[in-house]
Parts: sequence; C-alpha cells; structure tokens
Amino acid sequence: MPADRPDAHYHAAAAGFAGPEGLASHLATLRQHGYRKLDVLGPYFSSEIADALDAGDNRIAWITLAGGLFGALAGLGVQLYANYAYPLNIGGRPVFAWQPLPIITLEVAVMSAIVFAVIGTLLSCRLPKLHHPDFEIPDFSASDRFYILIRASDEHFDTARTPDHLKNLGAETVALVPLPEAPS
Amino acid sequence: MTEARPLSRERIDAVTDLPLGFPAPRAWALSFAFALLLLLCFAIAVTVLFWRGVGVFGNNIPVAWGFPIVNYIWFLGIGHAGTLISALLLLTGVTQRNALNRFAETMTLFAVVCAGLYPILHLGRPWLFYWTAPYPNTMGIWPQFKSPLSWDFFAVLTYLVASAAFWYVGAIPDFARLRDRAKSRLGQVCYGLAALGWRGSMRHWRRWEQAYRLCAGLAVTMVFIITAAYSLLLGGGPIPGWHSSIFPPYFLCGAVFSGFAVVAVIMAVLRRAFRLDDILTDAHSNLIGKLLLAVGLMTAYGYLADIFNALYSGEQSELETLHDRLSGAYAWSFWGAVICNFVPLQLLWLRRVRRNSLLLAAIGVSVAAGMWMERYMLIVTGLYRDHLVSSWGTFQASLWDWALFAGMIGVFLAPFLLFVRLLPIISGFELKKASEEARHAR
Repeated sequence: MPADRPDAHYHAAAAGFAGPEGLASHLATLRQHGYRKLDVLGPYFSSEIADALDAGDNRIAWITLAGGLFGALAGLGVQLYANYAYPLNIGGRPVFAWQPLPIITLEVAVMSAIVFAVIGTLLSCRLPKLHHPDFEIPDFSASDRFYILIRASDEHFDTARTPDHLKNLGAETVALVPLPEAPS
Repeated sequence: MTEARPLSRERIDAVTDLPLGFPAPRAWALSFAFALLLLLCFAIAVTVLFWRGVGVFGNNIPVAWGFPIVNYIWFLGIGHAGTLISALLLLTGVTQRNALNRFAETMTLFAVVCAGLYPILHLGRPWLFYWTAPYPNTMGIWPQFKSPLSWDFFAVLTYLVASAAFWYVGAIPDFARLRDRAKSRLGQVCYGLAALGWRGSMRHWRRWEQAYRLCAGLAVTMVFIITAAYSLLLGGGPIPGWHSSIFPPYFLCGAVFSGFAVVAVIMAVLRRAFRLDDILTDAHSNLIGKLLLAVGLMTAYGYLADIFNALYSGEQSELETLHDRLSGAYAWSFWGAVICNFVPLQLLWLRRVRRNSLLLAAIGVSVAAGMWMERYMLIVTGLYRDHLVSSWGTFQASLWDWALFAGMIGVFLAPFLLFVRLLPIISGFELKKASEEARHAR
C-alpha cells in the first residue's frame, strides 16, 4: 500500500450535528455518493438512524436465548447430579422428585440469560475498550452531539472531497479525524 | 403523556452534572455521617453476634425465625419494587420512567444486599455460608435441593447478579456522558473506566437497546419466580397460618407495595434536596400514588383471602392461629399492619393527595412500617403457638436484634448516599431523548 493512502494518516471524517433530525436522509445521500463505511455516534438511540445504517441484527436475542438454555440446563443438571451423587431420603420421597426442580432451574436460567445478554452486548460491540480512534474527533462530545463518520478505509474516502460532501449536508462541524500515533 | 414538558438543554445538563458540581455538600455530609453511625452500629452488632453466637438474638424455639427472617423478607420486598417499576414502565413505554428508574434500581440493589446478609448472619456459623452453594468438595456432599433453603440461596444470588447487571447496563451511557463532561482528571478517568469505552455508536445503541429490553422482560419474570421461591419457604411447611397456596401472589403484592412506598419516600427527598420539581413532577407522584393504591388494595385482598381460607378450611389449628393473630399476644402487629397499610392509603383516592409528593411520602412511611409489622405478624404468629401445646412459647426481640436492624438500615443508606453523591440519580440520556421527542411532538 502506498504511504500516501489517506487511511494511513486518518481514521475517519466526522460531521457533527446538533440533533438526530435528517441524519437518516443524510446517510442515504452519502450512500448515493458511494460511501459504504458509515457510522453514527449519538447521545441516545434513534431507531430511524440505526435502520438507515442497516444496523439491525438479532444476535443479542439469540445470545440471551442461549444463555437462558445454558442456565436452565446447568440449574437442572446440578440438581439431578447432586441428587444422584448424594442421595438423601427426605421423608421417603423419590431421589428424582420433579416437583422441587423447576424453581432453581428457572432462577439459574434467568440469571444466566441476563448475564449472557450483558456480556454478549459488550463483546459484540468490542467493549470494554480503553481507547478508540473515534475519541480523536476534535471537541468530541457524544453526549451532546450526533456525528456522522465516514471511515478512511472506505473506497471513496478522499481527504479533499469527503469533507465537502459532509459540509454540503449542513453539518455544524466537519473534521478529519487523525489516527492516534502509535506508541514508539 | 400529558405532562411531558420538554426541558431545556441547560437544565438536562445541570441535572446530569449533579455529581460533578454537587449542590448540597453540607446536607449530604450530615446524612452520610448519620449513615456511617448506623454502619458503626452494624459493625458492633455483627461483632457481638460473631463473638457470642446467635443466642444474642431473641429468636429461639419455638419462634426460630425472628428478626433475621422478618427483615430479610421486608428488605427483599422493597427491592422487588425497584425492578418492577423500572422494567414494567420500560416495557409499557411510560415516559415518566426516565426520571424514576435509576434511583429505584439502585434502591433495589442495596436492599437486596441487606436482604442477602440477613440469612447469612443468622446462620450459626456464618463463615460457612458457602456450604449452601453446590460445589465439588472433598467431603463429597451436596446441598439438599428439595429444601426451600437451597431455592432461597439461588433466589438471592440470581436477584443480586441480575439487578446489578440490569442497573449497570442502564447506567453505561450515563457514565460516558459524565466522562465527556467531567472537568477533573480523576473524574474523567473514573467515569471513563466505568463507561467501558462507550462512544454511542448507533450499532452499539441498537444492541444495547435490545439487551436492555430483554433484561427488563427477564427481570419481571425473575421477580415472580423469586417471590414464589421465598414465599414457599413458609408455604411449603405444615405450620398453621403459613400452609397456603395464596402465599406467592400475596407475597408479591406485599413486596411491591412496600417497595413503591419506599420509592415514594426517596422521590420526595430527592425532589426537595435537589430542587427537581421540573423533573420529578406532580405527574410522577400521581403515577406512584396510583400504583401504590392499586397494589395496596391487592394486598388487602390477600389479607381477606388469607382469613377466608382459614375460616373455610375449618381446621382447628388454622382457626386458632387466626384467632391468635386477631387477638393474641401479637395482635398489635396484625392491627398495626392493617391500620398503617390501609387507612392512610385511602387518601390516595384523591387526586390532590396523589399529586402532593410530601403527603405521598408520609403515606409511604406508614406503608413501609405497616408492611414490616405484617412480616413480623406472619412469622411470629405462625410459630409461637404450634400444633402442640407443649411447644408454645413467646418471642421478644433482643437489644441486638434492634441494633442489627438499625445497622442494616445503615448498610442500605451509606452506599445509597454514595450513589447520590457520585453517580447520576436521574438517567441523563433518557431524559434527553424524552425531552427532544417532546419538543418535536409540539
């Protein structure tokens, strides 16, 4: 790769907006320009923008379901195994009485589903992370602003034209985000 | 919603920045000193308990479950309301939620910690509490899974883990917000670490939203399972006055009732202390008032059903227990519960009272006390006169029972006050979203 490729110096181009209004149609405009590696940062969730980004998948639901099933099997399994490995005669009840089993099975299933949902969300977002190049946006404040990002790795990314495209959308601020310098 | 007035950006920033420029340091320090005093009381009571053994408590045969279980159920009940209020309002899309959820969930978290400590402390050898967990050991023994005690271990564990996870996931975007707005390096580093690198990408937000909703749905289910689990501790045995299939729903209503009451109290205190009249509005008081009234009436139905069951069963021992409750040695706890729970509650039929946060808080205090007496009544009157006259006895709480109870309130209060000081008590990003949406709807 030649050294003057823009993504050798830049991480992305960022355009800041005061609110979420119109961002979905801005994303459509950018797509018409040929950009594909787009992202939006914002202080709260907007399903309209997420849809425009095509950021829809159900993996969290599946991870949670997997967690629930895992927990149910683990909760049931430990009870069955314990009764088998250490049989206790409780008033002549059978070793594998089913009546007491659902409670712990359900409890562990719920706990495990929630833990899977949380950890699954973090890992699928590649968090926790101590730093990310997005934080290099000048005056970064994702708690007040919405940002449209075009990654430098995008085929159509160009240090001259891309900021113009973003300015034409009516952004309040437009900046090229430099890559953080690698520690030497 | 009728009263969702959009707030200005500056106002939202001011509210979410409360931990960064704390407005009432002196009042907070005084409250925290009081909480630390209670915590000291806890330390002393626990030291005495460990040194001299569970004999320092008032419970003995036949009333083997005294304050530890009364307070355990009471604290756990308070916890349930935080989960239910937050999760149900999220799933039903009530906009007033965003001002209530964070402190209600925090209340849950610390109430569950208090609840979890009680059963451990009243074990004869508390340092061996982990024996209730199933783990492979050289002794080759396993817990007795047919016993409600082992269901209870999992109930508390599940509740603690799940409510902590739900709380933390909900708070991550707020930590990020504080990280971006903190002026001091220490604040930036601490909030930054807590935010786990959250940068608000819409792709992340979508997953976060899914996870948060799934957790809320699971948390509601969990509350039902857990009340069922610990009410069966009582219902599962042949004790007169306990052996009833109404216990799981009855406990659930009572739990949520006492919890909503505490939410009403905390809401009134926060509202006055931080001048949040535009955020914790009369509409919020109205909402909590209605919920409190509804759950209170369901609890009242539980009382009636319980009495009806005893009468309808025609069993001698059930009737005697009923008689003991209404006119026995501990009748004060029954009538105290009925009066504190249901008499001031009737004021909530009036819209004017519901919208007055201070009156609502006063009713909340009455209900919290009433529900404590109810737990006392349930435990003690069930046990002090058993089937056999030879095993009759009385229960009298000891000094150390009371000291531990006071100390346990410190265990609740001290971390809660730290939360008020260091973390956003109102969910900033949800407030912002609701406010922007309200502005657009106009």
